[in-house]
Amino acid sequence: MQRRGDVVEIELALDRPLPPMSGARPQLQVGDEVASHSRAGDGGRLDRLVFTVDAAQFQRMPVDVPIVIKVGPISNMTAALQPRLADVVVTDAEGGQ
Amino acid sequence: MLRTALCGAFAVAAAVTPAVAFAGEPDDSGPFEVETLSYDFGDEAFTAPGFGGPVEFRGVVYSPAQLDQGPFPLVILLHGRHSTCYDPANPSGFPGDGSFLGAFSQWPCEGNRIAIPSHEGYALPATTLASHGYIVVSISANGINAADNNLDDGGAEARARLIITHLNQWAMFTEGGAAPFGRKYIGAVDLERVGLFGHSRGGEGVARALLLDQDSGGAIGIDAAFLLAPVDFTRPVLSDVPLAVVLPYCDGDVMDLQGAHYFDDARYANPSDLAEKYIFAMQRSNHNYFNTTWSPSTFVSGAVDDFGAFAEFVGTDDPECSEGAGSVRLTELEQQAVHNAYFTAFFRRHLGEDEAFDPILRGDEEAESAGAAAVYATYLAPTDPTTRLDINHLDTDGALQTNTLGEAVSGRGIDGYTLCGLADANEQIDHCVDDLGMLGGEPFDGRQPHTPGLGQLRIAFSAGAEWANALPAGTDASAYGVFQFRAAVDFEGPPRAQGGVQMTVRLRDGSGATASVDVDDYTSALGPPLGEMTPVLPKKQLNGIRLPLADFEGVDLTDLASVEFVFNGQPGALVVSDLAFSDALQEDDPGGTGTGGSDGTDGMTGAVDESAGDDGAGTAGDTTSGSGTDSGTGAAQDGEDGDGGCGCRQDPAGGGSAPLLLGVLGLMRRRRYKS
Repeated sequence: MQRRGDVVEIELALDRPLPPMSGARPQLQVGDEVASHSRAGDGGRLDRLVFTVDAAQFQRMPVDVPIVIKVGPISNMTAALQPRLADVVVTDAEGGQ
Repeated sequence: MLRTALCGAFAVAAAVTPAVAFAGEPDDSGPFEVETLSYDFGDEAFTAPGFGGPVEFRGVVYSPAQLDQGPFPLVILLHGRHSTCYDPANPSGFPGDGSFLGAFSQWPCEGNRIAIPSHEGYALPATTLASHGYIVVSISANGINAADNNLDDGGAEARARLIITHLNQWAMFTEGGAAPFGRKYIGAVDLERVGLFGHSRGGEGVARALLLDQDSGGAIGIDAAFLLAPVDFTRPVLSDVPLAVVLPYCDGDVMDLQGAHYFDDARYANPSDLAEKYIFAMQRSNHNYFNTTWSPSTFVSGAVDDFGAFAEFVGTDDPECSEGAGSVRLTELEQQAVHNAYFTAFFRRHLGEDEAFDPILRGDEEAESAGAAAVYATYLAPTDPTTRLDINHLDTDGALQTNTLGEAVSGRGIDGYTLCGLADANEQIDHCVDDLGMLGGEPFDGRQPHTPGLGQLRIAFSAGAEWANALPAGTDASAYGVFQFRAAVDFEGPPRAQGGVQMTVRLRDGSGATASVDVDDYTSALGPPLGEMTPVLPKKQLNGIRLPLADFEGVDLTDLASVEFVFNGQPGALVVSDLAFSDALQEDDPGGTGTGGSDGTDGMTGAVDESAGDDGAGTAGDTTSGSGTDSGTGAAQDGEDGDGGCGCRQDPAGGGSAPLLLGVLGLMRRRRYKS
């Protein structure tokens, strides 16, 4: 995690790259909280996903619950493809580890 | 806005493609030699208001070599979302890791990586159209692709701004000349005939560009839009512009074929909309192979069979849509060929007024190159009483008993009779698929492209069942060419017939005379739905069914009383919508108006009886509530002014400020129907 002002970035490491898709926008679900703003990892890596949430939403995210990445069309009901998470990188606030 | 990199623009001459003589198919090459050039203002030359990163400003130009024979219509192509960069030293990643591991999503490309040229992937349709006298420009949007998932609209607004800025740039090229082409294109571009093409997220970018232009009073004047497997995140409603939407049945990216909403939402949104609309449902086609840069056999990195990738995630496959042994999927070349035909036919029709391919566009004929694609067209004629008489929209509860013309709807032998596909006031969706199926542990809605939005009659029937829409007394349909409706086999209906649904359409006139035609004689659209891979296949994808009125021999078309569906095969089920008489006949068209004769079937009275096998009149079937469709229009955002200090030209960015005008060219060709 990186905090930039009121924005928190959560980077997830996947065990395989996710091909860029048009119809699917990755979503991060932690408990009942869903984040849908994302980008590839630093360096454009497709096996890394960085989700952006505001600090308030981040505070609402529970700990010790499964983290799920959903990929599916968003104009309709969402699907839940679940890449196997190889690692979850959560770094500390203000850029620290 | 365009920044200082404009100064560094350069052009590259690529090739001149010899042309062959024009023949009879829309994708045959035309009379012009095609010259291919490109322009490039740099990786960071464009920024869109509210967009978080730099965007390149470049395009590849396919134009007639004989520019002095212009001016030619202009068509802008915009690719969709894809990887943006790759490492030429390691384009496919490591063996066994998939072809897209060597690709990246960043902008600009760092280090030794180079840009993936998605905009170069439409050379075939661009060249074909250019050979008929069009200037086709395919623009690059990698910078948007690298950062668009951070935006609520998926980058639609930024893509629209990019399109408009290129259009404004082309106004400069043709009006006064500009670098890198100097005076080359002065007078060569007809800015009164402008078309847009967008693939995938590029499709919604085109949609947003249309709305931005319309919101600005039509400063540019966009005359035709072709959306290839588009996303529809924000549900914009597009009116007053000829619109085509391609839906690839085996799309492994936009799996729910949400682009169907563009057609569905626009049908009745504007009661004075004179623009024609089309859906081309292409079977056995995936999302990516329309673009050669996204096709594994023609590009080294980032290219993948999207349906195959999806199937790999799911852990299963389907011979209708998966590649490999026993597959019936189109090859890359086949898929590109069929797209080329419909793309070219559409723009030649709506920018060039070339009506020769109306039968293909409307679904009365199929392009030769469609081949195994089995393209099903759905057509909506202009909303004008001379071109279309709507019989039943099936978009309200009441449509189950009273049709759009205010007349009775009745039936017998009907086993199920409900309305589906609409959302109610609380946005609760009345699905047309009962069992959505599960994916990743959650319901997945991948088999009903038209839901929510399109009201559909869901009708199950016994053998011999009938369903009728009465017409106002003395209805004169003799000026129309066809009776048409949209339908799909309801694969959840009882039972799923092996051969699909067999049905007859019967017209009855005021004297009681009737005439019937079998749907199977005109289309295979009611054949067995393809695929078994729940929850994405098969799909309840409605296809257009058009029956020439001239073939209803022996009935007085000037005095019709009802349109009747007769389910004379096995028991089954359909979803149905949009019954209409369509297509204005020309004076020399052989529309029949004969009278007399009867097939001996009694007329029906009363409302639908849901009791199987009961011939008597009964009470109306249950209905589902809800009406209307979601709609949204994006508010235009003004572009930022300024040239970033370059000083070598005015900044053309800023959203449709150039005074381009709308217009059409009249080149009349043979036609059977007019609209």
